[in-house]
Amino acid sequence: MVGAPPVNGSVGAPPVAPPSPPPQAPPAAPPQITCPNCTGPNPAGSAVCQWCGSNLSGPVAKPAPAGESVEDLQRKEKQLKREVVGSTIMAVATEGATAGETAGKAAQLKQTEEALKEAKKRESEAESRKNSAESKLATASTGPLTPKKLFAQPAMVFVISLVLFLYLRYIKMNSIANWVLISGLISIIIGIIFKEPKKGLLFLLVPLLIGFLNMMNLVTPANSIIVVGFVSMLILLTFEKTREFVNKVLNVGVYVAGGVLIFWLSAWAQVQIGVSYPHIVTTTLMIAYFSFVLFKKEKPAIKFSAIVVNILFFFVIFTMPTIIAPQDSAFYNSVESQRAAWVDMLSGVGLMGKEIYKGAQMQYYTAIGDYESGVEAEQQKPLGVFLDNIGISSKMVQVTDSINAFGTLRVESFKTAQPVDVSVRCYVKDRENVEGSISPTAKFSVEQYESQDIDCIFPEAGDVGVGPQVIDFEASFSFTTSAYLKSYFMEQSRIRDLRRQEKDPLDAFGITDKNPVAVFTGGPLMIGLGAGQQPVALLDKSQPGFGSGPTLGITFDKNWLEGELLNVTRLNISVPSGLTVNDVDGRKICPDKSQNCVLEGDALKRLFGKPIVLPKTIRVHTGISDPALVLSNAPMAIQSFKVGVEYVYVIRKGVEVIVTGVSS
Amino acid sequence: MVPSQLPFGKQQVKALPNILSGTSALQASFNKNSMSNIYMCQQANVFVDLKNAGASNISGAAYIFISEEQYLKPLDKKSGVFSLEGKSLYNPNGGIAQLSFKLENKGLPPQLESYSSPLIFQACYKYQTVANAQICIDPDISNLKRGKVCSVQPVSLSGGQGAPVAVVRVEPLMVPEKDKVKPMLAVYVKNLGDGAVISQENAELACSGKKVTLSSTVALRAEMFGVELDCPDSVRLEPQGETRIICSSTALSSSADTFSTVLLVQLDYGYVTTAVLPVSINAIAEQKPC
Repeated sequence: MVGAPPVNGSVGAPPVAPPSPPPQAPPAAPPQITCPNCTGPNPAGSAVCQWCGSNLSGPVAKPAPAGESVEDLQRKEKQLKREVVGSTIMAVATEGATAGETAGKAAQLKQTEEALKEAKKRESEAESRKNSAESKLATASTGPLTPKKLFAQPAMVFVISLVLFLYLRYIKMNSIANWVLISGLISIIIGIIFKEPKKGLLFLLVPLLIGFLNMMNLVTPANSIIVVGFVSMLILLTFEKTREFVNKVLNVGVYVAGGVLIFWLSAWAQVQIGVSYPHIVTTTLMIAYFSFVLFKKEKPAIKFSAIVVNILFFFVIFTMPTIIAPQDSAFYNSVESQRAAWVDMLSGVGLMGKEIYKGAQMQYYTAIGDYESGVEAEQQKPLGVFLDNIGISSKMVQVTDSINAFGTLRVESFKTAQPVDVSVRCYVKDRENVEGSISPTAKFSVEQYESQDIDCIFPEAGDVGVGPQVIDFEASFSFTTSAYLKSYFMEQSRIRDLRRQEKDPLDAFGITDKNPVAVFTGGPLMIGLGAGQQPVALLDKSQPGFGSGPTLGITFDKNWLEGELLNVTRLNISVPSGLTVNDVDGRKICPDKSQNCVLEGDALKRLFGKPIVLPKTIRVHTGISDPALVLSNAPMAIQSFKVGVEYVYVIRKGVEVIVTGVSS
Repeated sequence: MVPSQLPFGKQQVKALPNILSGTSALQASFNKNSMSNIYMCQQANVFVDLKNAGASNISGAAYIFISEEQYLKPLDKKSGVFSLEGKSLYNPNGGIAQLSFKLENKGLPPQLESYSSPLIFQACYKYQTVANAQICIDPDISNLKRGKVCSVQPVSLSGGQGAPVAVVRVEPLMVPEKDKVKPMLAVYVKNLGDGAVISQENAELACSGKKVTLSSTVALRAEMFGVELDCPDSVRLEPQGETRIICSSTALSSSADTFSTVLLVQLDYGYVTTAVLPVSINAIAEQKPC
């Protein structure tokens, strides 16, 4: 650009050559003035403005100051700065001999800087005048009527919008019709504000896009806002003034809401390809995005916004998935499957954490000798009571609607065992007093392998509460778990003789399973047993300590990760023939010198406490009443300790429901 | 391989089987027809094949079947006695026998579909090892004489002597005693069999529930040129490796000639042989308690 640019001609205006006078010199070309009313250019000396017809009788505007261009002045300033620095160094080197020259150059530099400042000011003023003139000329154009000019008229836009509105209303496309009218009006307003009605026409993209969303069954408040936002951005991008700003907004927007966009596009892609691809793709993209946010150098405020926006987004989709798309739409389903995959992944991580914690806890208790282990007996099917296929008939209900959750109760008990009594209830999570009714019945007596469909009904969803709620199914059942520990018995003198010969006593009998582990039957509870070092030594009457038998350690722990042990109703401890149960945890609660000890009621309550904290280990001290009976005339005897426990266990499974509307 | 038929129709005389070789005594194993997989409440018949693969006769051996009687209750007498001839020139394979034993499952614990428990057979019996070795006795310890018929050196006996406890090595030692020389013999003994050595006196008791002291004691007798050597009556075998036993002969004059002779060693002990059969008990679907 050379010199301060005058206002350029626009529609129908003849181009005017820009003057380029030297500084402080009169302009070479005839000077132009600017109409004060319409800011259009006008040749000097004319009494009436050529463009807007306004009277220029007032003080005639001064011609635009001219001078060197900004670029020239910048170049000159740079050169002078270099010279001043060089001259200063020279002055120092010559001990002030060239000080006068340096001062002169410094003064010259100051003048140039001032001239540069002025030139910049002139340039910016000229630019704003030019823009203003362009828009005014567009509206005030009075040339022959072309289609371009016609559509640029606000009235025409209004007429088109109105006709479309009426037609769409007529064909019952009310929503689109409304959007057409709204868009038309907005385009008129934009046209008036920016003096460019034709750009306002871009707003008519809104009904088109809304129509497309409608076709895809994706019209939601959120999606409508996105469409309006998108079109607004598009319009703003057409204006030079706002382009830079919009660019910035878009850059920051993508940075801040990138996670949201990735998730959205991922779900969108699933709808497009018609299959749900592994969620790991989205997960990887999300991790990559968050890494980008964390490591990219960005202003802290923007970084903070990015994190807040994404956290809020995920909070919203996890709590109110219907805000994304209408229920049962393809988009909703794909987002929901994505969300479900993440929930599963998180719960998987949670379960893994639980497993690790349980393992560490077990190691700790084993190390301090307060934990006996066991292995679950091999079964064709896992034993216990299970809640399967928990679901809800309608995930989103109005406050006045009823909630119907359902599931299948499956019982896997052993063939020869007694029927299992199961009680089922359902309630709102963390509010057990808000209970639903169970259909067909809340109490079952199930035999062997049986299953039963159950329904949980809340007649009025308003009772449950507005917003996302979790309905918990709870099944409590009585169950029996048994455990067995094989043990070897030998006379102590025999054991010692063999050990003296550096022989393992059990090797002498060809026994390979030297440290038998307790076997417990399947179910929610684990029973571990331990009877000390094998083989168990039987003392002779002549030996000190005769009569004392091995101590049986019994550990109760959860075999399932879910659920909890509610109550122990019966405990049966059985020791091999020739042994007696002396006491349990130091309490003489068993019949004297009995081989079987059955505990019920208060004795159990005292033993286990309330609530029962697992793992729980009890120690049973035994006595040997007759070593010969234990051995049964054999050099070594194989006998088993048995423990059977009857208990009540409770399992829970939840299902989510969203209650909408205003609660009474 | 030695051809059994030579040319011109002449038959080679068959070599006599070496009875006094091998390291086995009683070999006991469960017959493959024994029922090791049974159903709940079912009876199981098991058979034990016995073979005396050693050179000594077994007489009045005690045996016992050990089972987890809560689940595998014996229907037969679980202990008894048997005798079995050893290998001889007339019976080079040794005596064989079979014992049968019946058990019954009395039910499995509720909610348990299968259970596994071992059935142990154990036989306790007396056994004997007879070993002989050609050794050299040389009273000329200064080595002044020439043209000796043999030289004193250790003798190794490999392959056993038809019994689990074997003499593995003999070391003749010429020990000067005043003007004479006393031949002493270091006999190395080791249990090369699979079973356990117990003292001869407690052999049968080891297979009972009676209180007994189990020690791997071996009674020893050695003889050289018809004269019994001075040996310890019994020695306890080392748990690992060889056990060294020193026997001494009567002193000989240092001017006596060098000669070769046969050392005869007899070891008497008790031995325990064990066999194990894992028995698996399975419950049938819908099966009621026994």
